[in-house]
Parts: sequence; structure tokens; C-alpha cells
Amino acid sequence: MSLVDQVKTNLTYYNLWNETKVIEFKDGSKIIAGVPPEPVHPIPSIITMDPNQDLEGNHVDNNNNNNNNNNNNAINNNNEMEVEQSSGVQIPQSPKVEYVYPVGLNEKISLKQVSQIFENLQIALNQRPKRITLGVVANDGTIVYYFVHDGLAKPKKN
Amino acid sequence: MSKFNKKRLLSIYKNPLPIDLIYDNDITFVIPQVVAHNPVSWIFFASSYLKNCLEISGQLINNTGKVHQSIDNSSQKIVVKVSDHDVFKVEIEIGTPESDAIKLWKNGFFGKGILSRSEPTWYERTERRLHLKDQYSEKDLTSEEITALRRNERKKFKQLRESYENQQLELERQISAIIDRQKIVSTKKEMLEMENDLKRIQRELEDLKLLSQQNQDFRAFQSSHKVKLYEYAGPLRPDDNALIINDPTISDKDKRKLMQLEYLQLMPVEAFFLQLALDKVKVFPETTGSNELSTLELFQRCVDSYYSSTTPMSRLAGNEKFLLDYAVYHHYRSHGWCVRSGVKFGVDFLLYEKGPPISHAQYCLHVVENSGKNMEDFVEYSSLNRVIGGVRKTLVFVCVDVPSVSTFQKIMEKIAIEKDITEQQKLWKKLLNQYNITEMVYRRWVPSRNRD
Amino acid sequence: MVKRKIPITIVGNRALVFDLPDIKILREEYHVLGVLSGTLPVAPQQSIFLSVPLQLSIEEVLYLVAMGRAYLIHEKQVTHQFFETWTDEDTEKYLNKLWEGHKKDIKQKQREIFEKRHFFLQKTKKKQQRNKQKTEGLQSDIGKEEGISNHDLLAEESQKEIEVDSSNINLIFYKTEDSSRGLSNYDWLVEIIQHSDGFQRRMLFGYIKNHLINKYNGVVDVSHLEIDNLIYDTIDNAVAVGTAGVDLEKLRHRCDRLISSVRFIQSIHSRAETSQYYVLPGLKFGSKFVVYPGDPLRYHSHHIVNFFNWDEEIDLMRFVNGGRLAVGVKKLWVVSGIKPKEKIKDAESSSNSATEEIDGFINALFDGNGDKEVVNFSVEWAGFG
Repeated sequence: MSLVDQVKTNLTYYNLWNETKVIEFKDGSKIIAGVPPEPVHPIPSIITMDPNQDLEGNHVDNNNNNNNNNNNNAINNNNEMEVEQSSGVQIPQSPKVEYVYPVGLNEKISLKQVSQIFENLQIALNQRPKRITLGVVANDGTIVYYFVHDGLAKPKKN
Repeated sequence: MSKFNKKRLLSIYKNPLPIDLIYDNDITFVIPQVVAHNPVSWIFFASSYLKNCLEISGQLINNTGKVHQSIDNSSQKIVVKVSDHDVFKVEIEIGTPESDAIKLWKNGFFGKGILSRSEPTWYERTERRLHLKDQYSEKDLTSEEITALRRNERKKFKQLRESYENQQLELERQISAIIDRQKIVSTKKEMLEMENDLKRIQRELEDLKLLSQQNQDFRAFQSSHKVKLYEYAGPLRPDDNALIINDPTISDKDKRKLMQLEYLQLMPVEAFFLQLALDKVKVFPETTGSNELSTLELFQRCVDSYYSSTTPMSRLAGNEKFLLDYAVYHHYRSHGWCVRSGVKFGVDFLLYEKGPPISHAQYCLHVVENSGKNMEDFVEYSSLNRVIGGVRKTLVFVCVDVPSVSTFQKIMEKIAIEKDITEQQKLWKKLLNQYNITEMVYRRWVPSRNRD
Repeated sequence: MVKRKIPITIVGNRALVFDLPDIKILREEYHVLGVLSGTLPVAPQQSIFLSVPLQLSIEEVLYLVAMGRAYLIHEKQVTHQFFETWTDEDTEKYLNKLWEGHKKDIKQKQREIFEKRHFFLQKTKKKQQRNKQKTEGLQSDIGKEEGISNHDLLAEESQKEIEVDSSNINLIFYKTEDSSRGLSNYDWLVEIIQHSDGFQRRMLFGYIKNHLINKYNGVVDVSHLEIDNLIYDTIDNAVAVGTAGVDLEKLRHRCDRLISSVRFIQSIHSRAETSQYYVLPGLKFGSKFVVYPGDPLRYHSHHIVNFFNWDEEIDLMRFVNGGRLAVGVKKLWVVSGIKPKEKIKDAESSSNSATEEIDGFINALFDGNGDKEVVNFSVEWAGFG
């Protein structure tokens, strides 16, 4: 059983997630999309990496930027097609869907990799998800899940 | 946990390791029958009993403490399958109370059910969840189910409390509305009606307050409301449907059977310990037709499982993570501790005095190589210590002295060419003896608080 | 409104702010807290009772300087400038002042000791008298004699004390490492100055001036001070300019970490949503920073922040640990770093000496590209699994 299968089985039959699907990206990385039995609302981010924001936090709206955006979107659309073809699975997208990235405990992960996962999803969904989940698999079969929010998020109130 | 419960658990889990002991036959108890109405038989019994006792103690002394027990190796070895992704699996047979997996779990808490918290109970749980088996008592519930039940209860409790609060607010709103209208209304008849309304609503409010007061206590709620664990009996999820086998040969009633999806997963250190130290398992690669792995092959497999690529035996240095982990694991198992994975708390291992169902783990082990290099980042340790302090456990740094690369390689080469099992066993022992273990408890010290 | 720049004094390798109004501006307007560090060497205090000066961390200093909110004053530079205009009269004044203070101190000390001793002897006398009264009926004669001898003793004792004290005069002063040169025994020095001719005086004054410079400087050679000195000091004391065998990899790593953390503070303070936030050192939580949503005296912190370089491989165990930690204290564990631009990467790989590396670092710091490259991810335990 590969790492991805282990996490998928665990999500479906231990945590009772619905509609779990494995998605493979162009770069070979895999992610599991699924719907948890009870929705977990993402917490808002106060600072994210927004290229359209200047130093003071204002939105920059000039023609140049808009043009760039349009170009980006065009590229995004192309990529999306490719992603769907390469995995053969329609990527589910709704506020309820969570994206789980399976990873072994003995592996390592860099900021670059995390950012890449977000970017892959951004291209595929045409929208950057608010968070992803790391499914960390230990060598005794324990799987622990950690949310990774995009940006500096506000802690939950309890 | 009640005392009774603890005793019951201790009787279930009485063996610290999956070893069967057999008692030697040369100590025999020949005790004559006692006949209740014959006093002579009593004397006979007493004298022979005493004689026997003396004899046995004499024998024990003569043998300088050698207890007449030996390890029973006649029982079948447990089959462990290792997958391509280095997952060590033990199958869990359905319907056999003493299957291999259960045996490993009950005798020393080896392995973990992949779809359970630790003890493999997924099958029973799922049978109940899918309403394939509806007759069970609360005593049968697994720890996962009890947690879920409590969570359900708490949720219901909160919902009820909220609904009372909302009703209360609504009634209060009505009252104030009536009072407001009273100021405008002039006719006596209307006035009277309103007065009645007001009284009625106030009475309702009183009742409600009484009810919500009774519901302030969670325990009271628990006893008065029987919350069910699995309430919904609607259509199954497609994922669950896929697990149900319809066996046409079986009679209608038991036709729907659940597929076993769970297996017991062993950590590489556990698999190696069971093979090397206890000789209780046979490990096979999962691909069909493969031969049993030798101890050396298993060793190689275990070392590689920690990395994404294989390292040839001749390139090992003796300080690979598996070796450090194994030295620590073997050390604590030999001292009677139950050692389990510590990933939940961000450490290498947890130490249980008895085992997970009986008591919580007291110690968290962080394995470090005693390499003469600087300890890693102390900022990181500070964070680790915070987590462990938060769950009231003690953080222990386990420093492992490793042999030099040449010593390690020399022994490994000998093991590789040694064909005789007992001789090889001696060499493994020699290898393990090269690893020394030093413990160090790490704790945050706050001058203002810990000033004794 | 243009705010005045705050002077930060660099003493040794510590950055200090001495003025209370400055500290107030730092706290209230720039949300920089630092750590109070002032204490007296003879009476060290617990950290709660410490006073000015305020010690700032390297990240805080770099942030303030990079944002143009503060400037650095280097102790070496100041000493140098001060002694450039130092004349013989100054030396004489200095010595006289020293001597006056010295004399005053001795008198004060003597008086104190005398009073103490007197008080003590009075006490013993009273006690003895009480004892005497008890045994009066039996030994009245002896008691009388004792009374007289006590009185003598008192006078004798106090006389002795003064003598002892003046022979131990050196002890009253805080000993410097130069005491072996005899400069701290001012007795004979003043004697010489008062009775020597012009040449001897000049010689001596030169000697004293050098001594003073040495005392405050360590080395008289004062090079121009730029921010890099400070960086050298704090990044790695072992890294020396131009020395062969500097671990460039390590230095680069540290520079990158440092710039990430400075950029992080910048990004927090420059955004409208987080402009009221405070960034404090986070050792308590095993991190680089903790972030408070307001003044730390009023709020609990929200984030535990750690910095990593963009390509740096992070152990998954750290995520597990950080996430668990965060849940336990109702915070979020944040990994932060800078996403490099392609161009910068080339420049980085070409630097092959420590100096170049530091120069590159300073350029990057003052690049002024704001917080655009700062990337944060907030980690928390998902609550299931």
C-alpha cells in the first residue's frame, strides 16, 4: 500500500470522509480531495502573499497588472486541462472539499514544496485554496493530520 | 479508571511479551485426596503438603534461583508480510478470538490497527456502524466508540441547552411586546385578555427555566437522555457499500458480510525485535511466491525503510536511524517497558509501564546519537518540551553511543557469512552490545516557580 | 509627519537605547519592545526589576534602521571623537574631580563605619549592663571596672577602624583591570601631579589619556562604523573579515534567516490589518518570534513564528511538534520565509567571500522591496486522525 493509498483508506474508513479522490498533478505529486463528515471552516488569513498588494496593503490597480493577470489566467486555463487529462479525474471543488497531501514522517518538506502544492491547486481550481492538510504517515501506520493555512491566519476563537 | 476495570484489564493483558512459558515437570505435587469426614486424611494431606513445599523450596535453592520454566517454542510463528512500501502487516482474521494479530496485541501491545487508535477494532466498529450487527451492549464498545458517543452526547447537550435559551429569549420577547401594547390599549376586555396571555407566557417561562436548570449538568443529561452512537440507518455510503460481500451460499439473514480492511501494522523495530530477540515471527515479502526473509535481509529492509533509497550493506555506518531506534527499543523492551511510537507527541517513542489500555504513557523518548557533535537546536527542544509538558509527560533524551564504522562493518561482515543460526545470534548480540544508552531527563526550569 | 530618528548606541555587540522618551516612542509607535537590561554590577537584579538601557535584538535594530526610523551610534566612534579634543586641562580636571570624589567617599565611608561600630558597641554595652544588673548584688565591684574598660574599648575600636579603612582604600573603588599599573591608586598620582614640572606632567597626562582611551575602547584604532560591524558581531562572532576558512555556507544561511526575520517584522508593521501587532522573541515557545495582536501586556500572542530558507528541508516531526504546540496554547505555528527572485539567486551563488556575502546581505536589506517576498504558512493540528 503506497502512502497515498494509506492516507486515502484512513480518510475514508477511519475518519469517514466522503468522495475521496486521488489527484495527480503534472509534476507527479499526488493529493487527495475529499469531504469531511462535518465541515471544518477555514479560518481567515490576515496576511497572504498577494502580488497585487503594495507595501502599505493597498491594492494596486493599474493597467499593467491587469494585463498580467489576464495572461496568467490564460495560462492557468491551459494547465487545468492538462491536469485533468493527466489524472483522468475531475477535481472536486466546493467550500466543503479539503485537500490532503500525503507525506511520510521520515520525509522532509520545504517552504518551496508547500508553496508548490498551493500553486498546483491554484492552477487546477483556478483559485487558490485557503488551506491544505498534511497527512503525515508514521512507520507504525499512525496518520496525523495538520492544516496548513495560506498566509498568516488568525487563530480560532474558543 | 475504576480499580475493578484495571484488574480486569491486567488479567487480559497479563503477558508483557508474546512468549509462552512451560513449567518443568520434575517438580510434582502429589497431594492425597482429602476426605471431609475422615480426620486422618486431613493429617495426611497436611503432612504431604508441607513435605512438598519443603522439597520445592529446597530444589529452588539447590538450583541457585533457576526457575523451572522454559520458553515454549512449539507454537506456530506469526506470519508478517512486508509490502513494497515497507509496511509490515499482520493479517487480522475475522471471527478468531486468538488470531495472530490479537495475540501480538494482547501480549506486549505490538503493532497498531491501521484503522483504529491502537487496538485493531475496526471490524467490530464498522459492523455496528453499518448496522450489520445491532445487538451489543455498552460494555462491548471500543474506546473509539466511547469517545464518539461522548462527543455525540455533548453535542446533543449543547443543542438542547441552546434551544432552551432560544425559547426563553422568544418568550421574554413576547412578554415585553405585550407589556408595550398594554400601554396603548384602552378597553378593559383587551386588557384582561392580555393579562391572561401574560400570565400564561410567564408560567411557560417558569417551566422552561426549571427545565433548563435541570439541564445545566452534563451528567444529569447523560443519565436522562440515552444518546445513540449510530442512529442513522439510511442508505450506505458508496465507499461502505463496496465493503459488503453478498455471499449467495449463506442463508438470507447473514448474507451481508463485511470485508476485513484492517491489518495490524508493525513498526520496523517491532518486526525486527520479534524476529531477532523473540524468534516469534516469519517475515515474507508481499509479492507472491517469495521466500521468508532471513534476519539479515529483514535488517536491510528495516534500515532502508527509513530512507527513500536503498543503501548497500557495505555502506552502512552503524549510526543509521533504524539502528539507533532499534537499540533504544530493544533496551526498553528488555527492561519490561512497553515501547510504542511517539509520533502523536512529536517524539520517537512513548514508554508505557504496562500498556496503552491500562495507563497513560509516562515518558517521551527523543533518540539522539551521542556523536560528540553539538546537540541540535535548543530552541527546537524548547518547543518539544512545551508539548510534552502540556500532556504531563516527561521528556527523556536517550543518547546512544554508536560503535565506530570499522567495528560495525566488521561485525556485519561476519554476520553476513555466518551460516549457523546460533552463532549468528551471538554476533547480533555482540553488535547490540556495541550500543550504549544513556538517559537524560530534560525539563524547563522556571526560577520564580521552581524555587525550593 | 516626520518623526525624529531614534539613536541606538552600540556598546560592544549590544544595541542599547538610553533615553526614556525614545523607549516610549519605540513601544507605542513602532511596536518595538526590546528588553530592559540596566542594572548595577554591585547589585544585580532579577529581570523584572531591570531598568534602562533598553537592549534591542539584531532583528529589531535592522528593522528600525532599514525603515529609516533609527540610526546607530557606535561607542568606538564616540570615544574617538571625544578624545580628539581632549586637552591636558581636561586631564587635570578629571583627576581633581576623581580625587575630590575619592576624598568624599573615604570620609563618607569612615563616618558610616564609625557610626555602625558605635551603634554596635552601644548595644553590647547595654547588654552587658543588663547582665551586670542581674549579677549586681554579688559582683558590684567588678561591674564598675568593666564599665570603664568598655568606654576605653569603644574609643580604641573606632580609632582602629579608621586606620584599617584608610589602608584598604583601594577596595572602595571598583577595580579595573589596569589596577596593576597603579593608576587606580590616586594618592601618589595626585601627589606627583601637584609637584612635578611641565614635561613630567605632559608625559603623565599623555599616559592617562591613553589609559582612558584604552579603558573605553579596547583598541584605539577606530575604523568607520557601518551597519556591517554590527552584523558581523551578531551573526557570528567567529566570522572574521578576510579570514580564510570562514564557513560561507553557514554565513549565507544565517544571513538568509536574518533577512527573513527582518522582512517578517516589516511585513507585519506595514500591513493595515496587522499594524497594531507586536513581534517579540519566542524562545519560551521554542521559536524565533511570537506575534501579539496588540500590546503584550494586554493580549495573548497569536502566532509562533519560525524561519526557514526557501529550499531548506524541514523535518516533518517539526510540523507535528509545532502544530501540537500551537493547539495546546491556542495559537498557530507559522513557518515563514522569503521566496527568492531568480536574479538574486545568481548573485548569491557568485559571492565567494564573507565581505561580499555581508555586502549582498546589506544590499538586500535596503533593497526596499518591502514584504512582497515574505511567504507565511500557518500550521495547526487538524483535530482529527
